[in-house]
Amino acid sequence: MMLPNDLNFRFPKTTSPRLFDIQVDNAIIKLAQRKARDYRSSDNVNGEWSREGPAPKAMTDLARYWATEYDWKAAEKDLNKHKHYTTTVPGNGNYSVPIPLHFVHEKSQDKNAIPLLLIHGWSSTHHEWSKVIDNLTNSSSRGNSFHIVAPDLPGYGFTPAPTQPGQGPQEVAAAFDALMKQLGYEKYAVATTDIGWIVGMWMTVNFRHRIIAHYTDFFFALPTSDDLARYAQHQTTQEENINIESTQAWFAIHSAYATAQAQKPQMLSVALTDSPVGFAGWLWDLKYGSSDGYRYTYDELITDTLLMWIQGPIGSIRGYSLFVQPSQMQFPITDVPTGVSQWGGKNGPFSEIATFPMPPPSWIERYANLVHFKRYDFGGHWPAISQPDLWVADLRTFFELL
Amino acid sequence: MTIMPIPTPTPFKVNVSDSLLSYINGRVNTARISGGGVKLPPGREWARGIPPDTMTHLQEYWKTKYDWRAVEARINSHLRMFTIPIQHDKEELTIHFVHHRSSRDGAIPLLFQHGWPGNFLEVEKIIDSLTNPKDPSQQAYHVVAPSLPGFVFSDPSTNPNFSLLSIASINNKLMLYLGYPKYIAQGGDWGSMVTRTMAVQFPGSCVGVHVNMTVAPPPSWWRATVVFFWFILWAIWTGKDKGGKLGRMQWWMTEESGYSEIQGTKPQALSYALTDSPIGMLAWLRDKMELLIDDDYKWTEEESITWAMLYLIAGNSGHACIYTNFKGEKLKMFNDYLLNKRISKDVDFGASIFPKEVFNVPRWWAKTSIAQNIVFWREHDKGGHFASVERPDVLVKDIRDWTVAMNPGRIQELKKIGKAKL
Repeated sequence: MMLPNDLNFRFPKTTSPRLFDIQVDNAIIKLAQRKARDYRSSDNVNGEWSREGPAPKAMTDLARYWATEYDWKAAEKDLNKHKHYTTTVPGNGNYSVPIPLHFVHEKSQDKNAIPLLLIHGWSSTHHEWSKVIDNLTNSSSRGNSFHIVAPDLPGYGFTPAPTQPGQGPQEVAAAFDALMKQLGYEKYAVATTDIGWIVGMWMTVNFRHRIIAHYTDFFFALPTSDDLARYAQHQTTQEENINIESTQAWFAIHSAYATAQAQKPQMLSVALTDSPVGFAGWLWDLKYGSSDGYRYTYDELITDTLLMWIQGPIGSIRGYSLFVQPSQMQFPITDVPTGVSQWGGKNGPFSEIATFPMPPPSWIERYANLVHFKRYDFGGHWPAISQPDLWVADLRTFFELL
Repeated sequence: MTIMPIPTPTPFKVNVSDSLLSYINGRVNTARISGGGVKLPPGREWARGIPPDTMTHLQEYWKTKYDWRAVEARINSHLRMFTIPIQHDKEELTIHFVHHRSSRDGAIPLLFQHGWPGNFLEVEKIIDSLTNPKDPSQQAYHVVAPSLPGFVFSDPSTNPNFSLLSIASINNKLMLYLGYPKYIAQGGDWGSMVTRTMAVQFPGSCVGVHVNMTVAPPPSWWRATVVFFWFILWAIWTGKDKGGKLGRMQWWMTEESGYSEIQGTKPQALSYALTDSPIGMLAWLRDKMELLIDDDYKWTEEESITWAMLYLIAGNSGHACIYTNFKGEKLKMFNDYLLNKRISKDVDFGASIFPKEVFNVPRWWAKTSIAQNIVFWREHDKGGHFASVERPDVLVKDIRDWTVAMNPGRIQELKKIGKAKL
């Protein structure tokens, strides 16, 4: 069946922020469960987890749990322990129609807390921040407390996907700025990760006057052709070498999901839309390689998958082709105070990417006003999930400097 | 010392179980297709992959009109198929193949190798005119068309180092076991690279190769300096022209190569969704099929769905794994055993160049990088990647004209072998 405009969840249409509860249609949850029950396992020759993908048995076990034990209602109740809102902001740039948004909004008890916009990235949603929100808003913690705004990127979670072409990271940046304005935050800070970092960087460029600071756990400063030339001449530092080599390993072995998503979202998403277990495997492969050995429960894996699957994965995957473009990653430098943490994967299964990406501060300084830098050799790609307290402490350390 | 007996072929008929068939049909009937809302401008509907409208149409056809049992019956009645166990590198693989003997005098043995997203059915439209030419004075062939290991009815290897070298060796053994110690070979796509590997590795057996795709590294300046400079100039002149050879190759590498990248690095991560979603498998293959044909060919719904069915039957990532030959250590090996080697003058090489193919090099480049002894080279005005499907008559004529241009001594030997009672 074709569900062109069906979000499969309750989404009150409103032009100003309105409180609501996440309520996913039972039909789509049941559909996923039936497909998990009917899951046809792939009889692959490689029976173990490897660089080539999950072990077949891991997938069958996941499918069986999904079909028989997974409880979406419990997950939904957990989501609703934070306050959810919908709103609509005007279209902008290349995207001419209004943009509906879903976001979490939690205020600190301290009226003078800093407004902080949290922007997730690929394969994640607003839910990535679930373990840090209460810590951040807590005014009795040492250090700053924050009013938290955590939207879903369009096409992810409960923010509807774009309905027209042209919604790139700059359009999303402008939409999020309009959101903060609607909430009455004239000035605010941004904390980002993964492709959310691209959006955050555009906010610092296009809305400089409104951004207090930018904190990120993923500053994606790639080696330039100059860096590679110096590397070929053995003129790079040890720190640069480690990063160049792990970056090469990433692109040689692990990055093809991004190429496939960016080039042919419609080709790929047919299978992922029709096979929720297959989609879970696609996402689990990335988690397995990049989360520093964090042991996801089946509940976490399935909930994360469903959050991307409920409205259909095409919306989020299609955005990839607009976000991950070289032209969208050339940022003019601004003076926005920037704090960068790096989290390695020494406990992860693939040593060649344990230090990916760890650009040296000197590279970051080409693109941002770096005032805080901290490198951890553990934590992985989603530190707000695997190391929530440390992530918050590091963020607070950055904000102390301002 | 014990002499291993030569394995013998067992007749094979396609017979998908009722339970698998009803499972697949059930999944098709209840498939979830989401439109995603964004309509691309007219003329650009395929820019981000196969459009949702096309998928809905194909799903509808699959539900209401597609009849696998009829397709199965047709395959079984037209193609005489076999399986045979072949040992390679401490592994025994069951290899599936089509084998048609010609009744004509002077018929010579020809191996036809398919590629990805193809299958053994790519021989369907050419096999009868190859074995039974209308004009009795034309060359006839005994045709052997194997399924690549890991594809459809041929077992996948469990050896992580399995490469085109392995496939070449297996194919060579197959021909030997069938009674063809000398033969010629034809292929496109991966088939072009497998057959070339056979010619490089077994030039005493694989004495002729014809391809309809030419993959070659640029001439190296130290081995063929003059040609290298021609290459640079040619690249500069033609580079920006998307209609030209280099432009089309570059377009493919920058805008269409994602499937090759993911299959080459993480075939298992991809496979769980493809095996579990028949229309997902269909979309994955059909997308790649669309852009590689010339504009005078249209894939029928039946062809598209049948190709997806064939990859679904085995239910694993075996087909995708061939792309691991393009990555990492296996790519280095590939360079060593094929790309940096030229087929010797003891092999008669031929090529058909179709404009909508994505890997086409000019003849002077092929002479430096692919084969010393090019006896046949034909450039066509129309045609794409799937020559045996889109333009079967043209391909058969090219094969015949290539054979005619082969070394007469070699042809005589091949005819003698072709005559031998099996």
